[in-house]
Amino acid sequence: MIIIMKFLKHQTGFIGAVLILLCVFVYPLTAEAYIDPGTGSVIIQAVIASIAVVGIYFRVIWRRAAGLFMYFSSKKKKAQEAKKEAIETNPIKSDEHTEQL
Amino acid sequence: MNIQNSFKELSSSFRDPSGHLFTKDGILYRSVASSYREHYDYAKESGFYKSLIDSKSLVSHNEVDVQADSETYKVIRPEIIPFISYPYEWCFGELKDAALLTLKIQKQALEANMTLKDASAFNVQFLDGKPIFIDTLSFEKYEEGSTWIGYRQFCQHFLAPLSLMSYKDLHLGQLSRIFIDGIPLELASSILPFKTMFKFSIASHIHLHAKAQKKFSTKTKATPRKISKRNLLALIDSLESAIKKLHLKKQDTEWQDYYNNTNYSSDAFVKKESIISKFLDIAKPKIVWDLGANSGAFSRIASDMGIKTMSFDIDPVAVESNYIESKRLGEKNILPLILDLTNPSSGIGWAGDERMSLEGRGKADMVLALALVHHLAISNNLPFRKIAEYFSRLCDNLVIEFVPKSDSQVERLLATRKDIFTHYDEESFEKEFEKYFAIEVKESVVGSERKLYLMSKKDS
Repeated sequence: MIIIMKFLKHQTGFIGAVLILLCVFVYPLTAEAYIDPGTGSVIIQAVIASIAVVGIYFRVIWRRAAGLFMYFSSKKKKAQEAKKEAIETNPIKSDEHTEQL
Repeated sequence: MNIQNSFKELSSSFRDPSGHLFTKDGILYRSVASSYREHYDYAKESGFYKSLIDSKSLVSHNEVDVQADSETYKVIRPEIIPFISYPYEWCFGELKDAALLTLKIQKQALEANMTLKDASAFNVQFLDGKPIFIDTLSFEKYEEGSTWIGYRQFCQHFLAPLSLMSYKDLHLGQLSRIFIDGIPLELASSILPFKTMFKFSIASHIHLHAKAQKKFSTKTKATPRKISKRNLLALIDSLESAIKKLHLKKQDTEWQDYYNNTNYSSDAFVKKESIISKFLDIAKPKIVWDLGANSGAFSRIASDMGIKTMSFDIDPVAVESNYIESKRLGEKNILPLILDLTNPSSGIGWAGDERMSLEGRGKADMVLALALVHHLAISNNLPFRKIAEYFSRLCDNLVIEFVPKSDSQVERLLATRKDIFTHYDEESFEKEFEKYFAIEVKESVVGSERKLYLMSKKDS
């Protein structure tokens, strides 16, 4: 929260605003490392990860929707092809049908 | 026994306190520190090391009974890499494959409840034509909610140079030579074209990342953060997708048309191949360095004979095409690398020897210097004596081609400058090289005026 307050104080633009908004989803935890992870890098990775995970959800939803669409369109296409094939393989029957009409 | 005197610690192995590389009686070992015991045992007992080694993602190792200091938990003997190469010597494709390997390993690590605690490009080497991770101690147990410590390093070591090479200029990969811990993101951000602001991956991992680094650079108190494993995996996915999307621009260089504009007829080319093959049969080298290899046509004569061949060239496009070919053919013995022989890799890093010089990684059993001497002697004004002296430091056997002034390639080099090279002739060439080498065989290449020599180094 201190960071957010500081950010609000020194907010300079859109990038800062995005950072502040998304930092809300990030919580403190103690970490140890032999290299410096970089404070900015730690904060930004949490922000990007939050966006990336939303992206993944959208991608999954999109793929499912696209899959569903493909399923129905292929079903419809198959039905049309089957009908066409039936007419081609059994022309007598279709002729009879025409005659009946 | 004085342990300190019998052990020689490697100059590159000092950053991570988890263990150190050292040699004893010429054999390379890695010590595992007692402080790393918990992580080492977990990686071993969970089968994580085994799965990485089986998939050839990590060098194999054996635990050995070698005495080390009191801080050491275990000593392991890692698999040997025939030639240590550095990220600034890799072409775009090699750096990209090394980046993808690092991310693949981090994903596997997270699945095994471990994490990479760094993401240095120096932790990757090339073995049998493929990138392989060499730092067995780079893993630690994953703590739920912890961030990826190596994220900054990954962006600086991999994403920044690859983006610069892809969006700006292929030669910018050489910035990794100056910035040993990766290209500063602020610098990368300032060089990258404006259009990259609209590419989510580059905008977030480089531009926004650089802004955040600057914003928090004055913060003295560490700000630990929590991030779920699901989000962490999404971050790795995002980096993976960013790396995969990066490709080279179609670039033209002075060398691309070399084989179409050479002095060789196809007969002469075949003849040259057969002479080199004969020289290799005579000298029987185990390690060959082809200096000025272009896209590796002659390196492949050696590598196809099962000889470990380092195929160096100054042109990153030629090295790239060499690497693509080696991947396509699944070659195991050839390693294409970028090298400017007039300014070869020197020792860099702490005390100037953290990363070894080219010479420090030698000697080669044989150096191939084909269609090279005129570039060194004329384009770079190097006297034959200096060329011979340097080559004598790099190898025991030398296959060298003399290209006379009457050759169209030399004429081209002299076309725009005054010919001050009065001693550039076959006689002077042989005289100077014979100060360091004995001429074993000399052959004329039928269909050209060039000469090929097999020389062996004289005892100094």
